[in-house]
Amino acid sequence: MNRLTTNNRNKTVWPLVMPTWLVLGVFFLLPLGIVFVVSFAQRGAYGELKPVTDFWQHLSSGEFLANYGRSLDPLYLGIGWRSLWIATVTTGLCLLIGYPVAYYIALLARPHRKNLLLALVVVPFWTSFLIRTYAWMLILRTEGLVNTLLLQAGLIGEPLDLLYNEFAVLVGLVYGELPFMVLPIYAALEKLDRSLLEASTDLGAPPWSTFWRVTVPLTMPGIVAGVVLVFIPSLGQFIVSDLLGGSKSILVGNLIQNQFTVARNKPFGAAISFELMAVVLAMLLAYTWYAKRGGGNREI
Amino acid sequence: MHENSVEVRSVTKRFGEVAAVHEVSLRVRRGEFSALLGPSGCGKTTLLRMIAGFETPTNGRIVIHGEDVTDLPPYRRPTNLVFQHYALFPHLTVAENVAFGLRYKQSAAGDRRSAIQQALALVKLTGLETRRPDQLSGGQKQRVALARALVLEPQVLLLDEPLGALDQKLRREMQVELKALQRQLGITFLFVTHDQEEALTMSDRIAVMNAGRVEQAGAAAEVFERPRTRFVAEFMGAANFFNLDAAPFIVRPEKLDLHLHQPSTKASLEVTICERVYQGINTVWIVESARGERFTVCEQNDRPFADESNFQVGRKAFLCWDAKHQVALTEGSSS
Repeated sequence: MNRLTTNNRNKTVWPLVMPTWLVLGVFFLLPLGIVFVVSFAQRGAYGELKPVTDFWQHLSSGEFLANYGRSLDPLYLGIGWRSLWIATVTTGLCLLIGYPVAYYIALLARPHRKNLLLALVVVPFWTSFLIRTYAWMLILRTEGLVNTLLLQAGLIGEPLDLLYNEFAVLVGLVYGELPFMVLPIYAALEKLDRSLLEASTDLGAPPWSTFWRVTVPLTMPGIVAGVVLVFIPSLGQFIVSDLLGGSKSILVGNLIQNQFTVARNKPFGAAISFELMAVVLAMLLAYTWYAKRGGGNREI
Repeated sequence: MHENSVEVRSVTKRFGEVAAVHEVSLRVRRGEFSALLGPSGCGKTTLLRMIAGFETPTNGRIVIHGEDVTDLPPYRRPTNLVFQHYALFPHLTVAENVAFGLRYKQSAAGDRRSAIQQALALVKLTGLETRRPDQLSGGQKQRVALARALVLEPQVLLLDEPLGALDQKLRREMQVELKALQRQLGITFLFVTHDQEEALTMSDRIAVMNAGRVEQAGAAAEVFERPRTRFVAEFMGAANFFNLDAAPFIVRPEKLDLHLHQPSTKASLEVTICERVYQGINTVWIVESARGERFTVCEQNDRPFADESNFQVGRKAFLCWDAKHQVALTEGSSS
């Protein structure tokens, strides 16, 4: 079967790859391109796109950048910072909770229990995220599960304000994103050579020292992957802040959603979408640079 | 000044129902090179790991230099272990690997640097400080593992099949080097191996283990020349079992001779020659007695070839030995 010379191979491979390119092109690149173009337009009186009468004047006057300029207004920048803040705190909490969980499953649990524990981490995905977020409303609201239990136990006199604030958004986000932190870290811990941990102990390192000097550096690729997998979706999400955050907590995702629905300002929404995408792309590029720096040995 | 570096007192280790180590008592003498020798699964590695602190005995105590360390974790014991596959930290350089444990010892930065230099010089790796483990050969990795352990000046150095992953030539070199190193440093070395030749080359004392027990322990030459149980005899290559009279005995292959005619001065047995294996330095003969017992004879090839032609496969000959070379066997373990 050595007919796969370079020339031959390209000819053979090309028709196999075409469907993927077609799908990507039509359903991904094309819509992206349309949104990109729309971001330079203006909305009309009834929410449609205002037709551009003078194309060159539209470009030279800088009018085509109107939406991008508007997005720099402190109001919108504030939303941007708040989104970054929420995403960062979510990622931090996921790391603080997720690492110990992954550590327990990989290194401390009995071998026959590992698969069960991993399944338990993944099982929530069998239910739609929307429904799970609604469930949190039932748990956190004034007459909800937590408040009812605490009131009945006599631990509080009045119900706590657990819903429609930043706290609820964080709960919903951390809950939803946690498996994405646990799984890459678990994978990295599984690959860890146990004898390295023994060697560290033998050389005089107490358990915490072994953790910081050996375990963490060697599982760093898993940690970074988990951070990327949690941070980026958190940045752009809108479901949790919509359902659990109330009117006070409007994030970038909600802003974009609003522009495309109630505010009927598709161009402005498009512009903000692209700004968000630019931020995410920059972070992904940073991650790729980090991964390459490891001499191409980062496998996760 | 304790005479014994390591004392294992009636130690048992059970994994579930199975006893990997069964009531083993052992004394490793200070400043000596000792070996735990035995086939896979005999419990030698488990025993070593218990001395290092990675396993806790189910029963019994472990005492190192007079201190009962049974309940101490590895990082509080005066031992260091050289792992079978070296366990070098891949994210650290050679120098950082060697320096790893020094952080837990009180010493000035300058002392640390010179300690690292000395340790690397000891294992002949000066100049490789900035290399990473994946840039080293097997032999070099082994030396780094050694340096990393020795720089901490342990009271007992433990080695888990240290030469297993090396090729023949490198192995022999390292055997000699390790022996010299131990003599130079004067600290107690205890290593685990399944290779009896290696054990003999390096150690002063050997403990032969089988199925979780120590069958025989003593000076290397003693264990080699005078095995006391069937298992030890077989393991040390002396599986020539004679059941002529009441007390069974063995004679080592190199103490046996083949003659055409029955000599008057030596004990002898009539045998048929079954096989002849030329091994360069020696020739090994496999012979069979009338009762069907097989014996192995090992003779150095210093006789001219002309004589050999008399001993052909199928011919009868006389297996001869000096009575003083008979070693009586006792059944059961001894220490």
